[in-house]
Amino acid sequence: MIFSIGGCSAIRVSQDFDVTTDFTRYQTFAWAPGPPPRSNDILMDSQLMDRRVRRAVEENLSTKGLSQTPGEQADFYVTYHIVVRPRFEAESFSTGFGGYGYRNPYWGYPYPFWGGIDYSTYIRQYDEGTLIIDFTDARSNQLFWRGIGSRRITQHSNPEKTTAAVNQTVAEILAQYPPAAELKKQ
Amino acid sequence: MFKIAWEEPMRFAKLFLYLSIAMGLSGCASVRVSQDYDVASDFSRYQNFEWAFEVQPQTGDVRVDNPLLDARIRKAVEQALVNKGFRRADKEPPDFTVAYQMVVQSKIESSPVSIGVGTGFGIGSGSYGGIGVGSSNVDSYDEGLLIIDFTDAKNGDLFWRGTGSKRLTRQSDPLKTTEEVYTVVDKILAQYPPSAKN
Repeated sequence: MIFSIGGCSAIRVSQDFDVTTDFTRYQTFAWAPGPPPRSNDILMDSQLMDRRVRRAVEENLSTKGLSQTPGEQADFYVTYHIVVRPRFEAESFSTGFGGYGYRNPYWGYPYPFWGGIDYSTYIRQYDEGTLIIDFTDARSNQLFWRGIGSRRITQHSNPEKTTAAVNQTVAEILAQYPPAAELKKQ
Repeated sequence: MFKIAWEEPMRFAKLFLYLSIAMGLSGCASVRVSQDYDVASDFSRYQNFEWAFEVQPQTGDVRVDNPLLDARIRKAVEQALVNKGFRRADKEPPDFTVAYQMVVQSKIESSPVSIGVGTGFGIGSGSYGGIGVGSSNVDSYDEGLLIIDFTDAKNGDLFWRGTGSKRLTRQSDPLKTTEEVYTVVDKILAQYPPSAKN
């Protein structure tokens, strides 16, 4: 309940890449061999989350025309990492505005009144999750693209909502790939 | 001025919202639970359980690596599962294995800093004004997070995860600590099996 009040489920994405890369060379991908990466958060470390992220990445890359192949034939390897960090935010809001008026019966003076306004500031803590998706050249083992997306973590009890949140994050991160030509020239 | 107060119901609605947050944050007894599961699972297949780890893996956090706490959590989980009609696997192989993880995290909370501005005047009696600043409080506290995982014993797939978090209170009475553990465990496991439409 508390987590959802902040309401903004905005995802901030960024990327980094080797500007000399010819991205058209990379047509087939495979998951990097090895166990799923551990995050720093036991909530994120689950097969359920791992399957979600992998499925979202696979579906997204295939819509880009890239195809998944067995490891040894792939042009590039995909890995991901999750980092969870506590964040703080402060918010000011007005808690009330009131007044009181009456006619003083003794003095006979009309409408004396008191008025006031009250402001309060709150500091809240929430968890921000960062998903990093890395593409590595299968032959040279060089990282050539990294996509990053951060968002406030909302605890859902409905797995379909969690899946939707993961899908959205992965989609926004991978929407940056391949980097636009004008970015490469800079 | 009086009119403004009544014409802004939203402002009051917001006040109540924040008041309820304040109560939620300071409500020591509240347990927040959530769950995650594989929507394709047929939960009715899982009847017999066994612990995944006979000895709880060490975490390196002395607050968590506590045999007394471990015994409490295991007993609470076993009892809750038996109450739901599951059986501890005896001689037959289990349908699913149960594991728990716990972590203690430091959290902060603040009570609102309040600044009030007031005026008052009456005809013939002078006028008054004032500003009041309330004190602020930023506190840190420990929050305990308990995760209970159910894994398919045959293929090793995690099919359900229940989580519960709660502000930790320091108890000197072991019976109270036991009671707290049971409350958290019962609330986490009350989510299982997930209802068809959540």
